[in-house]
Amino acid sequence: MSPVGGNLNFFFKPRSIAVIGASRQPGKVGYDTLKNLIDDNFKGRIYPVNPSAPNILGLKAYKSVGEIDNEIDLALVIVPAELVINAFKELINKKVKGAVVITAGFREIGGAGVQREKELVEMCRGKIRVIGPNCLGIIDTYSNLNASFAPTMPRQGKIGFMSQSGAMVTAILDFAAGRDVGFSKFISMGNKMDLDETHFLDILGRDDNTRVIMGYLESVVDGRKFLETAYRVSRKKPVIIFKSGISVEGTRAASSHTGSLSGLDRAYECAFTKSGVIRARSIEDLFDWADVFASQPLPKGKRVAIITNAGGPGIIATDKAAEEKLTLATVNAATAGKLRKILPPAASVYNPIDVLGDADSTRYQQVIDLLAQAEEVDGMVIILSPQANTQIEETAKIVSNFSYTSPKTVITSFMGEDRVATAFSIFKRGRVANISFPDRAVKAMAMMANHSAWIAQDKPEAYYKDIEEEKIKKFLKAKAGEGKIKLVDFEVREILDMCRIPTLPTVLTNTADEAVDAAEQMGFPVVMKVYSPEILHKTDVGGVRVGLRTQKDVAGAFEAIMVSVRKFLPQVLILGITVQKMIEGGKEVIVGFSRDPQFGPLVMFGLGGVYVEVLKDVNFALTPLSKKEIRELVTGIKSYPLLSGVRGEKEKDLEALYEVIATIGTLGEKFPEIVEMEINPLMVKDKGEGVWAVDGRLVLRGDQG
Amino acid sequence: MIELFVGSTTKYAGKTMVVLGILDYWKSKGLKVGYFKPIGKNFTLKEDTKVEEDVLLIKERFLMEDDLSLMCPFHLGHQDYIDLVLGKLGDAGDRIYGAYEKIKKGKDAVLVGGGQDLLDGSSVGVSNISFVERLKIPVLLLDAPVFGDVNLDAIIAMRDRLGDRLLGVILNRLPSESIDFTRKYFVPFLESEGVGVWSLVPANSKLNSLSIGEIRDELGGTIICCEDRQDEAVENFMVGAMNVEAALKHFRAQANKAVITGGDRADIQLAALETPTKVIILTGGMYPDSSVISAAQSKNVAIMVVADDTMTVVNKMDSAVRKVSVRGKRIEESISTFQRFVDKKYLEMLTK
Repeated sequence: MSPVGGNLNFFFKPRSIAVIGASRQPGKVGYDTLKNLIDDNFKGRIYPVNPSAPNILGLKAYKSVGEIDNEIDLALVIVPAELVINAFKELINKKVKGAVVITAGFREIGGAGVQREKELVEMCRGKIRVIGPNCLGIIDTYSNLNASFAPTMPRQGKIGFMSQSGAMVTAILDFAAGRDVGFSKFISMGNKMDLDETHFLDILGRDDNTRVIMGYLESVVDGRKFLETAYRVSRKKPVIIFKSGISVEGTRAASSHTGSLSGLDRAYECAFTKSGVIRARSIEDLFDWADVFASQPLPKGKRVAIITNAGGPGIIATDKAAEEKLTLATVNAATAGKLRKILPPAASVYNPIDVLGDADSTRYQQVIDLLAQAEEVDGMVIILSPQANTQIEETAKIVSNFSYTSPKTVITSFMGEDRVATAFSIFKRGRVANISFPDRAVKAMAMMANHSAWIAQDKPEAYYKDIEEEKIKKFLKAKAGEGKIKLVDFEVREILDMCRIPTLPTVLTNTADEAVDAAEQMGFPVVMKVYSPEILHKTDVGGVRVGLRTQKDVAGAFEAIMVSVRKFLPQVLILGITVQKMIEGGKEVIVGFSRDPQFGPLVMFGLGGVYVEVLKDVNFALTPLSKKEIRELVTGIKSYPLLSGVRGEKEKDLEALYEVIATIGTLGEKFPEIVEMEINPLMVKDKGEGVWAVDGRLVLRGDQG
Repeated sequence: MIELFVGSTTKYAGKTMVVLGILDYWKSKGLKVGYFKPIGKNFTLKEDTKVEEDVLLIKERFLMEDDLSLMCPFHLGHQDYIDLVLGKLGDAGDRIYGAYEKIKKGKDAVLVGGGQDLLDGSSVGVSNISFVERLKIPVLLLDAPVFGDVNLDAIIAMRDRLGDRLLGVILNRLPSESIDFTRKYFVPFLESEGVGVWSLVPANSKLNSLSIGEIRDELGGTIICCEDRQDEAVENFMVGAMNVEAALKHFRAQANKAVITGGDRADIQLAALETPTKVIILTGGMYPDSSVISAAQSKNVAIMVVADDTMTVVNKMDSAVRKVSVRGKRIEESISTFQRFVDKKYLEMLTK
């Protein structure tokens, strides 16, 4: 049993298929689909169902599913939308295991379609599994199953593809036919009313014929389940996903297409990173990478050798390698010596290895063979520019043979199109991953190296902090009971206390005299801030005064804040002014989380003030957080040296900071009623001196709708 | 016979709540009650005739038999002011005082409702203040220090003019967080100045909210999804013109809200549906994607389409929210709020 959806093999290896809505009219989906099943040699029984035709495409047709004597594993539903519910009544009666609903006219059209889909979901629950509706169908090249109306069936291969867009499936199929890329399974997910990307990921993960999983997604149904499954599957085989809806405009388009808030791209990015999913940013990348992952072994490390017969492409490849944080393998003295013997004096024996424009196939062969033995090289990018003397075909054959058997990763980049066409056909036959542009070839190598490094990591263990859960739960419930959803300052302070995060002494005052008293009691210097649940950016409205060292300062600040805030925001409720002990030295940081609609708490860390607001130097990670992820949140920001100590400044108390981030992550995980929370600023003092929470805000879920 | 004038320092201070509360109390004590408003300025149409909105409400709520034209004998609307400057308006005093005498007949108690402030009617020679001075009617004053300090100048000025006839002041619609502060600083001062503070009434969001149906009427919109939600109360409104991330952040922090955005912003609409939203108002006459309608249906959130552009809708909503009047469900809520927060000893005082 799979942890995700149980055994769903009947979808891809059915013994019998009923085609509900099979048609005699060429050009109709009900005809094309049945014809695909027959033409692509499906080996099981096929039962066309049509109330008025005695036989279709040479097969006996049945008036209804009930008339079929034998068991049915899979039904393809192609009848008009308004007949689908009735069709399913019969399928459920017949105890059919699964159905692929190609018919459109459900959630995607709104109104009546929404109701229809809801009804279908209800009636199918626990009785029959469903792919679609509104999909193109499914293909399994290893069981000769083309249960789709796609015009072409791909050849057998090791790539499994799932797509949220039916049109992408047809386009990719056509593209694949042109490039002669083979596939194991094709799944068009449609509206995902029952089975969704997480189920298909699991299916493809367990499929022995699938070596690489490729996906096109616009949104995910259940972010947390997807994350867990993607992690599990990625440990076994690469999962490469192209997720659209990245830009503000794209997100809008995706939202309107799918009717689900497609979520923040940042959250997807974090989810993919956390689960080891390789994210393609273009369809080109998706193909490049699926191809190399399917045909080549993973490199053991990041040390890459670039072999080229031209300087320019070599430099381009080198730039890209540096950009992608690959290591240009340092050729050791022994290897360099041997290279020198093979290569002409003008050639460069150091990486990138320039075999020169006059290189024949033998020179390529010698260099490749040598590097195959060099233990300092993990992978090779072999570049060929079609120059006057270049032996394109012969070199292609050599590379093809080598690449097929090499334990090291080899990606070729035979550049051009017309003159290298012969090489391409050799590569096709030899299943060589060729990417015509050297920078893209290097990028693909980097993806493989990164994935290899990711797989080598241990499974991260979630790190939770011990907090007073019961007390916090009660407190939040009480606040929600008062109808509050925004908690500020004192309320957040109480929660921080329950989490043992140190907070600074703070007093709410209503008059200048009260403020002076408070300041004297806690000791100067103090900070004063306007207190209002409605003001998000206090500084912007002159609501903050710092470094107040005398009674006069404090009394003056009280008046000044009032005047300034009133001037900017005459209609805002001011509840008073807080007086807070000012802490000197230390770095201001922001720690918080925002609950992503799909993936849950997204923890954010950044240096306070201008670093966050202007430079956007912040890092994000999805919970649950491991110790390693917490550390990377902090060390990953560009301004990290300011925390670790530069120019004579002392290192800050990073350990204490890590613990606060862990606490925030724990709060996010344990309290779904909190949708947003932030400590801003958190003062991080010098190493060993701890941290202080200065201010904070928290937003409760509130009743939706 | 008992007479009482309820006035306020400013408009929208919550007089209707106080009038309803006192009349209801009087009725509960078995008194035969009347209501009188010397100058009417806020009108509605009843059978195509201009009538004072509050007066109509009170007449209907307490099933009063007096004629509306007696209960509010003098109107000051647009045409009335034109007539006034042209010298065609006639004598206000005769009509107002004459009507008041008729209203009083057969009553145990009559409540007189003031206008925006006590100077209303000055242009026709019968200001609220001159009315109460001439008839020696005791005054209960209302102040609503919503965004700032108690309106001390107006209160003290009235005390100076009315002397003992100023029974006291009710401070209405105080944010709950500022009640302690008001009690600590302002109440002792007012009392030392001889102005009794009858009550500090906290803001009640139920009285300050518009229903989805009311918003539709105000904007002339069409509800295209979840029409059965039109009685739901909307307390805030927000404009959605930002990116999804910012939208989520802002929308989350505001409960019971209306989100105003364009029909083409599916992302904003879906973000609104993720957060506590009562209605999505789509401007420019643009209908949403069907996918959004289905998401709204499943979350039971109304969608309204209006022809106006966003800016106009915001302006209309802004003024509508500021002058939310006591109608529908808010009538009974007003009465119970008043009676919950005003000490019985003062109410009893009003029956003597």
